[in-house]
Formats: sequence, C-alpha cells, structure tokens
Amino acid sequence: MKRFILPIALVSVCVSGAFAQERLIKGRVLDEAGEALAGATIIFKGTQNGTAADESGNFQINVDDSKSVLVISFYGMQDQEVAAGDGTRDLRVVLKSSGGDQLAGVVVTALGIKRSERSLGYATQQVNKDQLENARANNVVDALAGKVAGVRVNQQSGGVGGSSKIIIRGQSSLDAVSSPIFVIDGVPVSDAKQGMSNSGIGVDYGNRASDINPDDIESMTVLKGPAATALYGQLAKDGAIIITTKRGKLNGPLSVSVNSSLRMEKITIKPHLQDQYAQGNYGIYNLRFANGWGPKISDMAGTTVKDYLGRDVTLQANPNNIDNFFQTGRTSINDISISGGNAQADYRIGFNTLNSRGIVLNQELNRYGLSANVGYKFSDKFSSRFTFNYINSNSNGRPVQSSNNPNVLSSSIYSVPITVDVKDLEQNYMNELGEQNNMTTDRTGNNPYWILNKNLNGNKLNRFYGATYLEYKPLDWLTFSNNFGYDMYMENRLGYVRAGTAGDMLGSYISTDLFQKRFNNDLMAIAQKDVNEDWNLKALLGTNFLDRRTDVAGVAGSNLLQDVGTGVFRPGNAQTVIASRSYANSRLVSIYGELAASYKDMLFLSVTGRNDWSSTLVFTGNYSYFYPSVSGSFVFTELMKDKKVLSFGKLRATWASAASDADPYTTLLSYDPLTAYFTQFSLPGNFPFLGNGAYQVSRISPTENLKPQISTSREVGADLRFFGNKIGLDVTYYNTLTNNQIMNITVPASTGFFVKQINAGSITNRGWEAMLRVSPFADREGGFKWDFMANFSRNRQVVNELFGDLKEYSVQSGWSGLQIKAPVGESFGLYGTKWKRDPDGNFIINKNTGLRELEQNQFLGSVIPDFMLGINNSFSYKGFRLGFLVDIRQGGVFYSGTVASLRSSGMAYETMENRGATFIDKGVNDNGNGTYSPNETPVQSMQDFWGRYAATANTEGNVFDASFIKLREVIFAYSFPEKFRPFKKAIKGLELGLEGRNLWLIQSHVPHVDPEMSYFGAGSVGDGVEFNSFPATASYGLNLKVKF
Amino acid sequence: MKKIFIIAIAALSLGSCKKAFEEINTNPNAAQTTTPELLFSGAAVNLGTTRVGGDLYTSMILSAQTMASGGNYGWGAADIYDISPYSTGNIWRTYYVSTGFNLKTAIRLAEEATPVKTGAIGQCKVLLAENIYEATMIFGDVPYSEAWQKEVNYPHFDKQEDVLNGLLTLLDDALVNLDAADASTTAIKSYDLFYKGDMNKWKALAKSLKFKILMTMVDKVPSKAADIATLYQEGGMIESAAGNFVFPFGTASGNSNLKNALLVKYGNGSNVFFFANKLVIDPMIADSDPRLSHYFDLGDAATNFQGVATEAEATDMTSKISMQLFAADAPEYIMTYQELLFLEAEAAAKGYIPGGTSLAQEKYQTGISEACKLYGVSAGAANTFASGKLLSATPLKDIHLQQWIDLMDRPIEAFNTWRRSGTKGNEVPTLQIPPGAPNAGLMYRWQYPLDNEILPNINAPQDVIYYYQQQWFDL
Repeated sequence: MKRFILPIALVSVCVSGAFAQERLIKGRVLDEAGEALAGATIIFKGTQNGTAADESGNFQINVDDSKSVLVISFYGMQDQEVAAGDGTRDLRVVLKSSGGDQLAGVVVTALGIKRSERSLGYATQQVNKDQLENARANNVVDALAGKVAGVRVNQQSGGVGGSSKIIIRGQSSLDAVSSPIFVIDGVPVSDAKQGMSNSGIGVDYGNRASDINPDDIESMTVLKGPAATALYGQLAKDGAIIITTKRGKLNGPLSVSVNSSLRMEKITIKPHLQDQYAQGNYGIYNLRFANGWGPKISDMAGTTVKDYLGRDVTLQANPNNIDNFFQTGRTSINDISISGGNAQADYRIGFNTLNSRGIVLNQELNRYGLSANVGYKFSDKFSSRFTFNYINSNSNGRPVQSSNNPNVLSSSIYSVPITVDVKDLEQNYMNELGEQNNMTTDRTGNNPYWILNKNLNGNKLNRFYGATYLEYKPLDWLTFSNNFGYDMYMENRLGYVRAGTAGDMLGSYISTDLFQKRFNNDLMAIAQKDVNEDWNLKALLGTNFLDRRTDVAGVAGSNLLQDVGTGVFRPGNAQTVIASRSYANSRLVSIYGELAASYKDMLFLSVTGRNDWSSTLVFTGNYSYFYPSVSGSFVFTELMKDKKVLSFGKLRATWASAASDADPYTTLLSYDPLTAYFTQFSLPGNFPFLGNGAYQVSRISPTENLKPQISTSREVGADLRFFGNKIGLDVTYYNTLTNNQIMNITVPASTGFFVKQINAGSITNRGWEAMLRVSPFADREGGFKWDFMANFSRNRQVVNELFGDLKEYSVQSGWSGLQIKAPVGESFGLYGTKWKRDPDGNFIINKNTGLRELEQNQFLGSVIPDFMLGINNSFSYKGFRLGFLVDIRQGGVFYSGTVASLRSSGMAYETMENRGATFIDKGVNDNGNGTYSPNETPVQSMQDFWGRYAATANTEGNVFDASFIKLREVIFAYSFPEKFRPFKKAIKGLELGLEGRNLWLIQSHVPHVDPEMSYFGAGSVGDGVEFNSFPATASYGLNLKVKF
Repeated sequence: MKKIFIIAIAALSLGSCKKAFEEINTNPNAAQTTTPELLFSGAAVNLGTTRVGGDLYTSMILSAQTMASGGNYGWGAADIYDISPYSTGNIWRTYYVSTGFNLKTAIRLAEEATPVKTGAIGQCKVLLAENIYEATMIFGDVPYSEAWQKEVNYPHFDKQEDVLNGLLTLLDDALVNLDAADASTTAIKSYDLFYKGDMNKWKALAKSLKFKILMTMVDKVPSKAADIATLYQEGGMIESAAGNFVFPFGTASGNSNLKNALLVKYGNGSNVFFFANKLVIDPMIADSDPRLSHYFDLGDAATNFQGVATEAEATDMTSKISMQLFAADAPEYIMTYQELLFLEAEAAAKGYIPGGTSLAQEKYQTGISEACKLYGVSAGAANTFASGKLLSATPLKDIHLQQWIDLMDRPIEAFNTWRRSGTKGNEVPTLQIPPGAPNAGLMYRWQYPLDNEILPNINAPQDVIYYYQQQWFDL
C-alpha cells in the first residue's frame, strides 16, 4: 500500500516545493493497541488548519515554522501535542484513551466554528458519515430518524422523491412549521417545501434538503434549541442541522472512492381487502360502482354478467390485485469522488447519481449531483475555500393524493372491484382509438392504469449552492474571515390530465415555475488568546447579510383545444387559462458578537448577542431588534481524583432568546387583483368573469405596529461517562417559550377579514432528552464489539395563551370538520366529528336507521407522540458489522382517509362481517326527554353501517392510536481485510454490505396503512392525518464501497 | 482597529438600510388602493357563484328537500341535515367577507371619490341588502350593525328583526342614491352584470326586495301590513321578466354555472347525482304541468316522469333534474317577477293589499304563467296552463305550492318560502324528517359556522342553536 501512496506524495511535494519553503512531516496515528486511528486530526495549535489521518492512520503535513506545535486529536482519545521541529520526520503518535477523562471531540457549531465539546453549554448531537453512508436514505432528512434524541422525522408519503418533515423539540409556532435550518459549510441552504401554486392538487414535490447528497457529508451536527444557535439568528430558532462536507487533505494522496448501492423497494403495508363480494349496491351487481357492495361471488356461480368492457363473464375474485398492481421499485445510487491535495491546496470532487423507479408505473426520479470543495492557502496568513454544488433532478409520475380529484391514485386502485383483474385493466385501459376504457359504466371511474400512463406530475430542478470563504490571520490570536454563500434554484413543475379522463373530460394542465435565490454573507473577526495558564478568552464580532427572493409563476390551463400525441401543455392550447404570479423579497442585516472565557479547561462561559434589522418589519417601526444568550459548562470531574467509575462529568446550562420577523408585505393593507374565485369541490372559477376583472380587499387584516416574535429557551444538561467511556449518558431538560407569535389568527368573518395578523400566542415546549451509549468492548482489539445507543425524547407542548379570550385556534383544516387545533392549556390536537354519547358514555343510535349519531367539533386526541425512542445496536467482529435501528413512537392519534375509503366502499376485509345478517349496534336511543333506552333497531345494511362509520365526514370512525415500532434500518457489512482484497495494489479498501430501511413495522394500531404518513405536507403545521396518501415503501439492497 | 473596522462596515450596510428595506418590502403582488367597480365585480361574482356552488346549493337542495339525492345510486346516502361545517363556514365568509366587506369598502371608496359615485353607492347597497337578507334567513340572528367596523373586533349579533329593519333602512338609503340626479352618470355599468347600470331596474329591485322583506316580517309583526300596502300602492316594483335580478353564466369553463361544472368534473357531463323529488314532481305530474320536461329529464330506462322520495334509492326509471337547469350557461335567478307576483297574491289573499281574492287570483295566474315562460314553456302553453289554475277554498296553500314548484332550483328562496308557508307543522308541502337524520325535528335553519365566527367572536351566541329551532320570523 505504501508503495502506491509514496510516488503520489513525492509528486505533491515536488509541486508544492516550487511555491514555498516548507518541510514535510509524515506520521502515523495509532491507539494504544497499535490500531490505526483513521480520521484523527492533526492541526496547528491555535488554528483550525491542518489535516487528517487516512484509513491507515497515516498523515503528512507541511510545516514552515519550526516552532509550530501540532495537536493530534481523536474522538475519545486524549489530545497529544507534538513540536514540529525542523525537519521531515516519521512521527509515530500513540494516543491514549481519554477514558472519559478528556473530551477531545470537536463539534461544529454556529457559523461553522469548531469548538471542543466540553466547552458547550447546550446539547448537540452528531451524526457521522458512517451513519449516513450505510442504508442511505434518498432524502437526507430521513437518515436522521431515530438517530438523534428530540428529532422527529415524518416521511410525508411513499412516492419517489416525496418530502419529509423534520421537527426538533416540538412545534413551537402556531402558524408556520418549526423546521430547523440546514447549514452547509457555514452557509444556510433552503429546505423549502413549496406547495404547488394555483391548485388544490395534493402532489408532494419534496423538500429541498433532499437535494443534499448524503455521500458528500462528513458529519452532521444537530443543534437542538435556539440556545445553540443564537449566532444564526431567526432562521435557526427551531434548531439547526450543521453539515460539514468532505474535503481533500493537504498533502493527501490522490484517492478515489466509489460507493454504490442497488436497492429494491416494496410497499410496506398492503391493505387487507375482502375477496368475496363483487361491485354493486346493496348486494345487487352493478357496474356503476367501483366498490365491494355487490353480491357474494359464490352466490353468483354459474351466472353470467357483463364486465366493464361489456364482455360476458362469470364473477371470480382476484385476491392478488394489490400485489399485481404494485411493482418492485428500484433505486441505484452511485457516488464517485476524487480527493487529495498538495502543500497549498486540497480538493475533493464528487459526482453522484440517484436513479429511482417507483413502485408504480412511470414513477421515477433521476438526480445528478456534482460537488467540488477546494481549499487554497495563498500564504501562512491568507487562505481560502471554495465549495460548489450543482444538482439536476428530474422526476415524473408523482402521485396525486387527497380528494376531489380524478387522479387520486390510492383511492382509484383501492376501489378496483375484487372481481376485476388489474392485469386485465392494464391491458385494456385504452381502446383502439386511444380512448379510455373506464372502470365503471357511467364513465365516472378512471381505470387506474389510465391515470398511471396518462396523467403525470413531474418536475425538473436545477440548483446551485456553494460558498467562497476567505480567511486572513494577521496574528496568531486574531482571524478575519468572510464567507459568501449562495443558494439558488429553478424548478419547473408540470402536471397534466389527458383528455378523456373522467372528472376532467377535456384535459387540463398546471405548470409552475419556481425561482428561489438566497445570498448570505458573514464577515467576522475572532480573537482568541490564552491570557495565562488558566484563562483563555475569546471574542467574536460579525455582521451578516441575508437576502431571500422567491418568484413563483403558475399557469393553469383547462379544457384543452386538442390533446393528441404527447400533448401540448401551453396556454394557447387551453380554453381557460389562469395565470398567477407571486414574488417575495426580504432582507436581514445583522450584527452579532460573542464573548467567551474558559478557566483551566474546566469552567466555560459564553455570552452572545445579535441585533437584526429586517425589511419585513420596516413599516412597523420595530424593524431593529436585539436578542442575547448566555451559556456555561462545568467539567466537574476535573476536581475529582478517583475517576474509575465516573470518568468524565460535565454540567451545562443555557439561557437564550431568538427573535424573528414576519413574512414580506404583510404589515400594510392591500387590495388583491383576482384571478380566481373560491369554489367547493375544486371546480374551475376564474376572472375575468364574462369579461370583467375584479379586486378584493386583502383577507388578512394587518397590524401596523407588529413586533418581532420572541422565543426564549432554557436548558440544563449533564454529560456523564463511566468506566473509561464504556458507558455514556447525556441528559437534557429544556423549556422553550415562544411568545409574541406573529400569526394569522382567524377572526370573526363579520369583521370583514378571514384572519388578522397579530402578535399573540404563547407556546411552551418542554421536555427531556436522554442519550445512552454503551460500548462494553470498546477497548478490545480486533475482536467482538457491541455498541448500543438509545435516544429518548419526550416533548410536552402547552399552548399557554392565544389572543385575548380566545380559547382555541385552528392551525390546520382538513375536510368535513377535521381540524388540527391549538386549545389553551393543551397541546395540538385532532378535532372533528365524534359519536354522540349519552351521559353514561353509550353511543346514541338513531332509532330509525340503527346508525350512530354524530356531533361536530369534538376533541379526538393529541397529534403529538408521548415519547420517541430510537435504539441502535451495532455489532462488529473481524470486519463483519451488523447494525439495526429500531424506531419507537408512543402516543398520539392518527386519522386515515385511506381506511375511510376502503371501509366505506366495502373493500376492506372487515366489511365482510355481518353482511346479509342482522346487526344491531350497541348503544342507546335518545327518547328526546333526557332519558335513553337500549337500541334495538338493526342496521338496515352493512353498506349503510360502514357508509356511516367510515364516512370521511365522520372523523372518529377513522382515528387510530398513532403509536408504532419500526425496524428502521438494518445493515450487514463486511470490510475485506487486506489479505482478502483483490487487486491489492489498486484497491485500498473494499466493503460489501446489505442494507434495509423500514423493513418491518413491528407494531402498529392502524389497519391497512403505514401510521407515519402525513397529508398536510412537510410545510404544514398539521400532523397525524393521512388522506389517500400514496403508500410508504420499504427498501432492501446491496451496497459496495471501494477505495482506490 | 478591529472595532473601527467592524463599525465602519456596519454603518455602511445600515446607513442606506431603511430606504432599501422600504423598497424591498413594497408589495408588487397587490395594490394600495382600487375602485368601487372592481370590488363590486368581485362581490357580485362571489355571491352569484356561492348561490349555485357545492357549499350552498348542493346542501340546500337536499336538506330543503326540493331535489332528491337518489341515495347511493346518485349523490350518496347520508344525513342530509348534517351540513358540513366547512360549507356553512364558506357561505358565511361569502356573506361577510368576499361579498359583504368588499361591497362595504366599495361604498367607502365611492363616497371618497371625486365626484362622489352616487349611483354606485346605491347599487352596492342593494346588493348588500340581498346579501345580508340571505345570511339572516339561513342563520337567524347575524352581525349587522357592528359588522365591518374597523374598531370592532367582536361584532355583536343583531336580532333578526333588527337586521331586517336595518335592511329596509339600507334599501331606503339606496333608493335615495339611485334617485339622485347624477346616479346614472356615476353608476357601475360594464362591471354590473345584472342590469348594466340601469338605475330604474335597480330601483325596482330595491322596492321589490323591500316587499319581500316586509312579507317575511309581517307574520311576526302585523303592523308591517301597512308598509306592504303603501309600498304596493306606490308602485315601481319589478313589472316584467325584464326586471328579473339575474346573475348570468357563460359556457366557458371557469365562467360556467357551478351546477354544471360539478357534473362536468365528476359526472362526465351528465346528471348522475340529482333526481326529481316526489314532493315537487308528484303535484306537477298530477297537474300535467308544462314545466315537467324543462325541470326534468327522463330516467335512463324510463318513458314517463317518476320521482323518488328524499334519500331513497333511485333507479334507472327515476327522473333526473334536467340538463336545462344544469346547463353551463343556466342563469341564476336571485329575484324574479313571478316571485313578486306570488308574494302579491299572498298579500291580496291575506288582505294586506286591497283587491281581495280576485286580485290574488290574477296575480297567482300571472305568476304561474311567468314562471312557466321563464323556464322555457311557450307563451301560449303557459297562458293556457295558468288560466286553468284557479284558487281553491284554501288559496294560500295553492299559492305556496306554486311557489314551492317555482323555487325548486332556487333552494334558498324555497326554504324561506316553505318556512313562511304555515305555522310549524302546517307548512306547504308537508315534509318528513329525512332518513338518516336524527329524530330531533325538521330543519328550520342552518347552524352557525363555529370556526369562522362563533369560536373567534366572544360576542357571538355561545349556546348551540340547533337546526331544528325556528328563527324569529317563523311562526
């Protein structure tokens, strides 16, 4: 191996030698057992400059000052300092286990500043590349599920490229989803979840953090509260996910890595369908209906009936319809990167592809990413780094969810009568003329294969983000830096419905062009100095400029003039065209600072302050606002002599506040030009109306003296390590109070407005986070190892007050009375219709129909889990590694629209019960005089019963316990040792792995669907509701990593 | 040195900050002001389309039982008295926000204009009166005197009597505006889809609307009979079908009648949802009413007209509501000549206006004839049919039955008239509690929308007022 590295290294040295009088130090970092410490960092003391050890623990570093001191660090090991001396040396650095005594871990905090873990007064948790490279999630957000305490990830739907929502420590706002900020190499990038403009179509176009290539990530640090992020300002009020990307190494050899995965995907939960009843009405066969309320198939033996194509058939069940409809999805992810460096420059160039085919026809996502990360030292004092990312992502066949739309796929496929064979539907979805063969005779039922083949929703995305970083270090204790970052993307969405589709006979399309741009600049000065042996002081002063712009242009064309061939989806080809345009621009300018002191590496104190000036509040007089934070930590084990049991202990505490502004243009009353008027059932309605345009007074009543929203967070925690770091326990208690919320509160319509923008409302999120790590065999060399890690979190949310005397607030509306509400004194809950009960709790049953009666606007349960627990086990033995992650969520309720559809249409298995028999529902009749008598009225038919019980309008019948236990990830990998490695000269590392995600829903209380789905989307405050969502998928596959 | 550097940078970036911020935060998507014409236009379209939309029309034809769902064969069996709170909320928002507040603002802008747009003020007031009349007739006591006031966060609900009296005053004010010398020149013209700025038609409508409101109140307040007589004798109300207050629709998608758009989107362009209710079609069949073939299409396998009971299962023999009524460009009648004639017949039969039974008979027959002609019956056939219709010994019942038939496709007015048509239990026709609905009683109102008014308004009635409780006007 060395023979290969050496020539490259020599070349590098020669090249670099031409530029500077530097000397090369080579070395190897090992642990006490002599094992290489890959990734150990070697930095010049007092700087952030340096290199890292390669897989074999080898490193090389150029030194131009013989007085330099190198600090060699590795997580869980004691730092070691080595004088650079004056020449090329072969260093052999053996690091001693910190035994928990020394926290050498370095955490990347706000603004990309690296800080030692022990100095932090707040909770952070790091996810390393090992945890991301295996069982790679298509969406980087999903990879965090179960791995970090306090982080809740909800995959919104199973479609390829669907979005995921991430919330840290609970929803803090009544009005906007409390998502963390994503920061890549010091630059905030967008995780936008923009809904489709101009339509009520439920198509999930993903969240933009999914553009981030997991293979480019070196580490992710999750900063959980505003405490951790006071320096980022308002974007980070709900936490931050700090991503450091991989980079080359100064004087590093040319290295090529390949990481390839091939994965198969299948539907996680198949609905359990009945297989005995044909389509029809009250037991009579009828082709008008796509349902299961027809006659019993066995009763129709020998009888010939017409099928949907008019053919004479005898009825038979097709129990494999679901299996036949969903195909095996396939995803291949390939990543290749080249990295290396010489004395002045380091580089890493990566290329990544993701090609995914969904579990239904024509559903696909193809993503290509190019990344570059180049560092260059102009001189000892002046250095730079340039990062660049380009993403091209194309998708098609994104499924339509929700209702009132002819293209809702899951309701279409789940209502295929069991007597209709989906393979037959597939072969016959079109006649010879290219027209649809509808599934029902009245031509209101679309053949699901028509939808899959004809009516597609897709997008094309081009995105660039990156940063230019300059650093000037005039004195060894003083650093000036400037980081200019940009993030911009253009996304073109097109969804169309081809002519001949039931529900949209002439065809229509919606195209939306989204443009988003962010410029971010941080100019900073940092001074850090050891005042004497005991005291170290640090001061930071910086200024930030953030300009954000979005521009959304939409065109909705309906009633196409002609629709032939591949179709023309342009304004000229539609009878009705509604165009929309929405532009938004906002700017924040800030000054921030930090003062920090540490005493004997034992006591740490940090104070920060930030003042923002926001364009969105400029007309209110409150556009300048300040918010401070203070945090400290105390490594109390420094005072202890005996550290055999408790090897390391740290207490930490933080108080922090963060202020945030409003949306642009919301503080003044405006008059809106209208392009459309509201209609129920998503019917077309547009201006000009018979030639006349129109305006309306804005429906939002502005508040002219709006103030910024303030969140205040307190946090205390302890980090304890026992038996020389074999057991680690980290516990945090936090309490975040979000006050003065800027929100649009529903006002009485009789005031003339829908909502009023106000400063009101107060929400407290408080809870516990605990992380337990057990590595009993951490010090056993080469042999069996077991690492156990559990992440527990419990968040309790309380709405303290709303506005004035208001008792509840609707944060999200569904349909037919279903809502997510925030009631004072409670957490967010699901509300809707509920069975009417007598004072004793018996169901009140209608004496005429035998069906239960309902009442509206009732509480049905909290949508927030009681606790979350992620348990990760990892075993390794001689190159073999087995890991599995179990994700547990307990508590909360879940509404399933899919279950409602399956039951009310007589397709669900349970609807077979009592058919044709007399069924008397247990309950009482209301005698109308305050008395109740036992119900004796039978249900007239089970069709009526389920039509009532599982009606969309009946919320309670479709609500379930949301708790679940999931096997989230499984990894089994083998890393070939050198002796088994083929082409040893070229191949430096080889690992083969099997990986699986979401393989097993171990426990769930929801029938037919995955309890994790969400309809409202990642950009919404609402949770716990699914409405004809596309089913979730499980994946399993093969992973190959090769390093040259 | 470092501090000076930072302060200099900060000063540079912040100095021009406020001005740049003001530019950045100026909304390019919306205007700072607008005109009464443009607000009237939007308000009218919202009112007209809500009357035929899925929230109001669909819920009302079924719950008032003027049409039938056909059970699972058609729209679907359900509890038709269980009106979705979103539908009531959407309707309420039309009355108070989309239509009400925009008209109120249009009036303010017209008053602030130079010269004052007097005619426009009159038009807006009349439309506002119709708007709030609908609101109070559906929901009962509603906010009026404190609605749309900038300084009132929680408008009180006015008693229905006060609301109706307030509307009479509003219409009197409107008549003053419409009578002004400059009314025609300052009227809304091309944006007025009803009358194109014809002040005389607006005046006739204002008076006819007053007549309708007085007829609503007179059962409870007998003294209103005098006002009815005065108004009738003054004249100037709608005098022919040309004065009908009609909201037009076009054939183009997006401008078409939503009754049709619903069928286009979900029914493949044909009516698979709504059927002839026996309560309407049976008396028409008995009478060989010439409107039968205009109101209804035969069932898919039928050769004669046949109705179905409320919420009962239809078959392919059941008559469907006709595609004439559900045409893309079917106009929406908000107030018609025949509606006024039937009201006058009622007033004569009850002795509020002079003329007695003979005037009642005359108005009744003219009303039937106008009703037939409006829905496409030829003038000859209409007259022949009408002249054969004589008032019986119970003339009011005859008049109310004809109103019921005339208003089948105008469920708000049908529901209002049915409640006026007799004391509780004696209405025309006699309705039954629909299958699927609780045994609590017939529907006499819609319940308030909780989310858009009751919950956020601390001055709103806090006790639930159920749909089976009568309103103030209703004996």
